[in-house]
Amino acid sequence: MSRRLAALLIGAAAGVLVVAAAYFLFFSRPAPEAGPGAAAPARPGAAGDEAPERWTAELFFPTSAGLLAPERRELAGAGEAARAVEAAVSALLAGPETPGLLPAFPPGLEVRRALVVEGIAFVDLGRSGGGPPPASGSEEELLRLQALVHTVTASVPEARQVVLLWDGEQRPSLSGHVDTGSPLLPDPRLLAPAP
Amino acid sequence: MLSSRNVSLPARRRFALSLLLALFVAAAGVGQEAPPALTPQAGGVLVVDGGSSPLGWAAAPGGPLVSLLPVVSRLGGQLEAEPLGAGFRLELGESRAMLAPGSAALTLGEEIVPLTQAPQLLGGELLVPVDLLQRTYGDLLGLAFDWPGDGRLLVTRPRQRELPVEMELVHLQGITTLVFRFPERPRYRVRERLGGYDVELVGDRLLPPPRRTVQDPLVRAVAIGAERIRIDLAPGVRADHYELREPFRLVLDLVAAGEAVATPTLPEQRRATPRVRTIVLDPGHGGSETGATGPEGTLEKDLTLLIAQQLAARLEEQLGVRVVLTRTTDVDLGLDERAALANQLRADLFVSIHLNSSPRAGARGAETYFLSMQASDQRAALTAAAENLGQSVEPIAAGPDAELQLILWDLAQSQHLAASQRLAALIQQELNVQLDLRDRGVKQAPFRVLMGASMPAVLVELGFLSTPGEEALLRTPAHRASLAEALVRAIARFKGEQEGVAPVPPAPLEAVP
Ligand SMILES: [Zn+2]
Repeated sequence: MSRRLAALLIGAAAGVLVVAAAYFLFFSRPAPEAGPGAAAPARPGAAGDEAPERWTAELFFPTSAGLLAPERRELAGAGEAARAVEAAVSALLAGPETPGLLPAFPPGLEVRRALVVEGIAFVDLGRSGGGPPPASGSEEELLRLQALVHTVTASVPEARQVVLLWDGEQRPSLSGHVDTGSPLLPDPRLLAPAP
Repeated sequence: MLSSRNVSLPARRRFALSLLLALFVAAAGVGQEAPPALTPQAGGVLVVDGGSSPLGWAAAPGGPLVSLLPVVSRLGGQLEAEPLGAGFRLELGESRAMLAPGSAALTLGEEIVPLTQAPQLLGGELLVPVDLLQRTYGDLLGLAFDWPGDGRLLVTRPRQRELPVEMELVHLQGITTLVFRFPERPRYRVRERLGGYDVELVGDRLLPPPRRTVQDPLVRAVAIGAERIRIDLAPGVRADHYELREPFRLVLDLVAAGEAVATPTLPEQRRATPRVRTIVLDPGHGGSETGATGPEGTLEKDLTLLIAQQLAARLEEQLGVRVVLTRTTDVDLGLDERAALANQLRADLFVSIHLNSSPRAGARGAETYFLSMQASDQRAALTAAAENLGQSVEPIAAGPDAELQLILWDLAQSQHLAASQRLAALIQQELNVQLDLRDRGVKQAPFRVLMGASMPAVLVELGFLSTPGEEALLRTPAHRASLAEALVRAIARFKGEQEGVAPVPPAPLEAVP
């Protein structure tokens, strides 16, 4: 964990972060349990020694109607929730393969680190070469953040909320509109009706 | 005046604080790759009365941040951590200040004071900007804090200023407004006592104006002395005091609260009738934050400023209201600072102006948003996380409690959602007519700039810069003028409704994602 990330986990002053992160550090439970009744895409367990299995992540991308639609994607096995978040978000950043779906993020971004603690996924993004978060209008920002949150919470059942960091820092907002100072929750109103 | 020179931490809070600190130490120990945002500086010195003691500090972009704990140990007061890391409480005598790392605002009693930058927890120390010390210790103890820029924090008792003061008194519709005008902000405190209020100067002296008799139904006498303004009120009269800037004024609104039942006429009615006198317009983005960029390179931050300036002029001219812009030039300005400015000005409306962008092709038209409350979700998460730890958690959503002021500050907008929704609906109606949009309803989103605004507040997206045709249109002054005109009509309707002047049939409300 970078010092900056550590400082900001605390500096955010959100008690939930503190409690959760403290719990993680002090009691270091190996793998948080899945939420009850969560219908998760199958992901291999954290056995660890055999060859990487494949699992199915559910990535959400903007549609031409300004909503979000899922794309199921086979990803390399990762037992630990944090690695799964990292893999799913990396795939999200790389863009959709389904025709008709639109990229949620501009190119050149990467996942610096992911952490899942007590239902909260901490996702630290940045530019490959460093630099500020992408500038955008509010609809683009809303879709971007909700694509991220839906992807994480649908793909990794241990994660029910997302705290977004940029270069290890939690900001009031990524692009000047949507609050990212609190954990983000998936907003079902942005999901496109199933075809 | 100070009750204690010790830092007192009740057990539960001590636990919370030690968790914070231990977490930091544990986490920082693991760190290696990225450099921290702030570097703690060695060799800081707190200089008080010629004596000195060590002081942690850090150089931040907005100026130095200094460790609060050594100041508390030296100058007195109590610093306590709030449960679950919700912030810290600094008690100085009868005054109580609430602060939170990451929040560039300080709650002083019931007043919310914007800070130049947010306090931070760094290396296990709570670091605060120097202006926080000035607004707490400085104003209450008559001290001056000086940072010469070499790692020293100088605390001095400044020379006494002699400030001339002028008084105005207006009685309108059952409310008396008492205004004391000073050339600069004096160090003072307001104390309620039996039969009235005292404004006590701390370290400054007043040059009183010529004595005059007050004839007012609510005020018996006002005596201005060198060290104190003594205000004697009629029985049952209560005061609400606040500050206005440029020039500095201390204002007391006096109402006969006790007689409201006996004479349920004007004071109550005026209180119940919100008025729209001051409007804060917020041109979105600015400085390094460009917002959306059109295919032709048009920047959102430039057009929002142009539109806001035009709208301000029209509102002032057509509605006779006072309009203040959060920024008038191309500068960086934090989202919280924008709302804090509106709160500080006691604005009656807050309108944040933006231009949109979307990944979808052909997006067009205007959309008006009011706040969707994500904060309640955060509370639920906080409670859930605490429950997972096996701690008993009191329901956070209980009534207004001083300890929750910081949270309420975050939720300032929650009390104005209905009015914000109404304002959004009126704006959307007018924009729909202006732009020939069909069935476009108001929307809700967790927009940060709206959260702290303690007045009806909306964010309006006036078009999609990402769509070539709309970008071209938005670059036309005539189109921008027509947008401003639609906003003026909507705000005029809202003002009329609020003030009960021109009843307007309710707009259809439709909240869509
Ligand atoms: Zn914007």
